[in-house]
Amino acid sequence: MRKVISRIHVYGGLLCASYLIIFGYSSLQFNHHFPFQNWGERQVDWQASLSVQETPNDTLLAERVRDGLGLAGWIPWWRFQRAGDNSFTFEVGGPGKGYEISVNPERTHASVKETRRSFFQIYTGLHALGHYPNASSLVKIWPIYTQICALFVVFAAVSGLYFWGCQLDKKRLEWALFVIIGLGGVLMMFYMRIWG
Amino acid sequence: MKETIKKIHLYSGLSLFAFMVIFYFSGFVMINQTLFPSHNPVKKVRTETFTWDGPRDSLAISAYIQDHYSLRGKLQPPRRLNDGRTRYNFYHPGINSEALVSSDGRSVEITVSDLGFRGMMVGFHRILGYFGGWLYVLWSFFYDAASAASIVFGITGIVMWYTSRSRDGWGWLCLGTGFGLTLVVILYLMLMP
Repeated sequence: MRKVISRIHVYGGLLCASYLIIFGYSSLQFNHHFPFQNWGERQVDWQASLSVQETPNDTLLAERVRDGLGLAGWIPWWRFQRAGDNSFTFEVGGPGKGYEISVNPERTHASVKETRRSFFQIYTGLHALGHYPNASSLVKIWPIYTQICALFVVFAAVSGLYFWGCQLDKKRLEWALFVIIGLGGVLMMFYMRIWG
Repeated sequence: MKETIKKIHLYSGLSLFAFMVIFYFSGFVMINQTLFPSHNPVKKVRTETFTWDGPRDSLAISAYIQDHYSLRGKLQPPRRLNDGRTRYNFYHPGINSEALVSSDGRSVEITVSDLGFRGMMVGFHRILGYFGGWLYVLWSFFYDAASAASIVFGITGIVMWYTSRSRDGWGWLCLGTGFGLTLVVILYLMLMP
């Protein structure tokens, strides 16, 4: 039994090592906002012809334009803007690229400001990259991988403690770390939940 | 060297296991909405008189509100609404308290929302920043420590496996799958629409 647990610990760890590093880096970034995060972000403007059926529904219109341009990403409804001449502006936010799209009143032409995200932005985005509209099958695998890794870390923590518990020569420092910080952390969570 | 790496792996695990578990498990809860659905929060609303004759400093007012009306949680940045009221939010895992001070500054509407299990997990996952009192500063420190430990576990784990006698093809396959998938997804996101 111990051998099986050990193998899952090792092979699962090797499988998830990449995500552990992503999770660690991105979490530090969320707490500290590294200055180099946007290095390499670029903006490219382009235009395209369209053939989109008009609709008074802004969400539907934005989806039609996005799909017509072959783009992928979420459409934030609070960024919709219909001008007096019926031209329409909206945004599409993808994990790798963001777009600000302006469509002419006839719905035949789109001007696109494309923001190509930096390597670090994309790397951070892998922290919790979920399903998004028009995502490729390749990207759909990622959430499965992240869920496996999330569960694996819980397993690794428990199995790691089990291996340590099986050791005969535990040092004082190990006990101190386990009791003061490890179990102290559990108490801290209870304290925060109840009285925090 | 090998012993040192083993010790780093062990010591960071013994000290930070609780934080690693809560951060990863809460992440699992957040991305599995079908397994852990969010429910409508249970809200308690009350209106009280508001008496504050101190400075207009928002931090001082926040501290007064939190103390005077016994609201728990980490202060979020106050926000002035279009109708002249000012909103003060205090957030802690599972519970959100909101104090809306009227535009004339004479009354305050307090809403305490119980966000349930999912809300609690979201709270543990998302409480960030070195502000809001000693508890939240300490939490943020352990958040950073667990984040750094996550990187350390990944690297030391690979090194420990690589230098061990049990290094085999299955290990290479697992390692290659994880890093290969990461690389392919990053390249896809950089190059494709």
